[in-house]
Amino acid sequence: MATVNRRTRAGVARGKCFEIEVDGERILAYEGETIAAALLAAGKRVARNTKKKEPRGIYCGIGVCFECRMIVDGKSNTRVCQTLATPNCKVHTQFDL
Amino acid sequence: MTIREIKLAIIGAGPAGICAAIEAAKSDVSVTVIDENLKPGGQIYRRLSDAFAVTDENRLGKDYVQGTKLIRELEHYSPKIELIEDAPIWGIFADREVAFLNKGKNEELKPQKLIIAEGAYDRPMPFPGWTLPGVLTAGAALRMVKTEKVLPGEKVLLTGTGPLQLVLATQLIQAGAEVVSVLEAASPTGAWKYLPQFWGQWELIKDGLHYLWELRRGKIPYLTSHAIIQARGEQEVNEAVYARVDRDGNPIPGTEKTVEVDTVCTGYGLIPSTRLSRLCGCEHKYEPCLGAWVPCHDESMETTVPGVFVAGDSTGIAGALVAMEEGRLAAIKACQQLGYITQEEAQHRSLPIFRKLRGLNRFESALNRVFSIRRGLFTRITNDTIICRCEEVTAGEIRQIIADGAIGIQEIKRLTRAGMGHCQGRMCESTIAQMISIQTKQLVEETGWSTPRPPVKPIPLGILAAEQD
Repeated sequence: MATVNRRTRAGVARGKCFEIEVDGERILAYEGETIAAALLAAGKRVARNTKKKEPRGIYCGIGVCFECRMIVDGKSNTRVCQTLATPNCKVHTQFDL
Repeated sequence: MTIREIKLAIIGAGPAGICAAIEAAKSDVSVTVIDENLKPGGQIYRRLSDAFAVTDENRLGKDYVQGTKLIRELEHYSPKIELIEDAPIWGIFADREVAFLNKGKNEELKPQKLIIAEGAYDRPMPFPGWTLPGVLTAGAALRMVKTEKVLPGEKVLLTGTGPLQLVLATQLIQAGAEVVSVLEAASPTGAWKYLPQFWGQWELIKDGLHYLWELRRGKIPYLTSHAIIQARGEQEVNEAVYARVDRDGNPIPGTEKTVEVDTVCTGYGLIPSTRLSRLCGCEHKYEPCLGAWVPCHDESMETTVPGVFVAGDSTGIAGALVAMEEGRLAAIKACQQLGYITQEEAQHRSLPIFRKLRGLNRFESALNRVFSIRRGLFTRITNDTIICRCEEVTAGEIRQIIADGAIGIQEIKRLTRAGMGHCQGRMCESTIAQMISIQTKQLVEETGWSTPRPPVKPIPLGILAAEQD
């Protein structure tokens, strides 16, 4: 399991903790967290690779830029900044063709 | 599928949309609010997840507390207000017919009056390396720190212009990140010229000084007349180069410095979201200070399309306080048009709002002037810099086409596919307009804009196909 944990606690207590799977690796996520937040908290930045094989990650953070598209439970082009993490959900880096 | 006919629809549940809804409910008008996010609040009043227990609301900041109050008021009027969340709007058709996705299904509403409060987003400002993971907008970073309680990285460089950078720097430091520097493209003297216009807005000035003080205390360098010129890294950013810039924003050769960072936050102000007001056919005008198009409207916020109103940051960047008042004005006028309140009552309720707005708008227009985007910042763009993130169109390709004679956004879109991808031009249109203007010496507004066509948000094809059955 990834050891990086960039969560802060100021003013809040998190809810239920569970694991999600990112490219086969188990990472932690909390109820109410977006997949984007869980990835950043684990120090994972790359969401997809473009046609020209360039890495891309979270950019606008509010669902406008569509850069953070990943494959979530088999559904490609899912914006992880707009998608909540669910227990055992499977997230894959997207390779655009 | 049936199209539901209603009195009033509001697009967007940020400060403008929420206040519009409350005002309508107060006038006894039933209203439907459609929002793309999971919860109301918009960007500024974005809520924490219900799964997070708030142990100390004051530590969440003043905006959060204000947002809580506003959303409580919205809930108070819930019998009159239908709130549809997590619902991206993909089209608006003739006679205000609004099409959106609701729980994976297509839905359509036909309101007699429509208020559009679609908000704004961080201005995309390209420079070499800006597409690397770890380079993200100030808005994205703020959201992560404020409502997801996650640090986007550990060693952060801030670059951009305007007061939002100070807010972000303070939040990052408090959350435990190392802020390497805050680079402000504007010069320090710029602000003094507009001092008289700031007069009287003590609350807002106090906020600004407080943030500057916080930076001082944390010994964070706040470098005016500076900007990033390159982000470097393989899979993600690990180094940034910045330089001093002149008054027009041109980097000054020989002043470059390289710093090791794992995150770069870019905050070059906001640009209004206008895809939906454009779809409605509203007339727009170009605001050079904002570097963006905004919908034209009268003092009651009605656009050139009768029955279609706009409010909030999508009409020009002025912040939550202005947005709320504009939302109220739009709703009052819409309710009057619907016959729920008399002209006298509408006037009586609007007058104090007009008065309030005058002071606030003066402040915001001064801010926008001080922190307007300097032309020279576009000289950072090398030919291999990506401009259209979706279709991976480089500046070199675009410059070549302009050199070959293209003079408008639409032509460039057709010839390069820039603006045709998932984001529908939201990330590249403003930059391409500047690039054409710089190269052809036209005014930016003469380069035109890309006409949005539905779907303005990607929708799974199956959903529309199912409609045909």
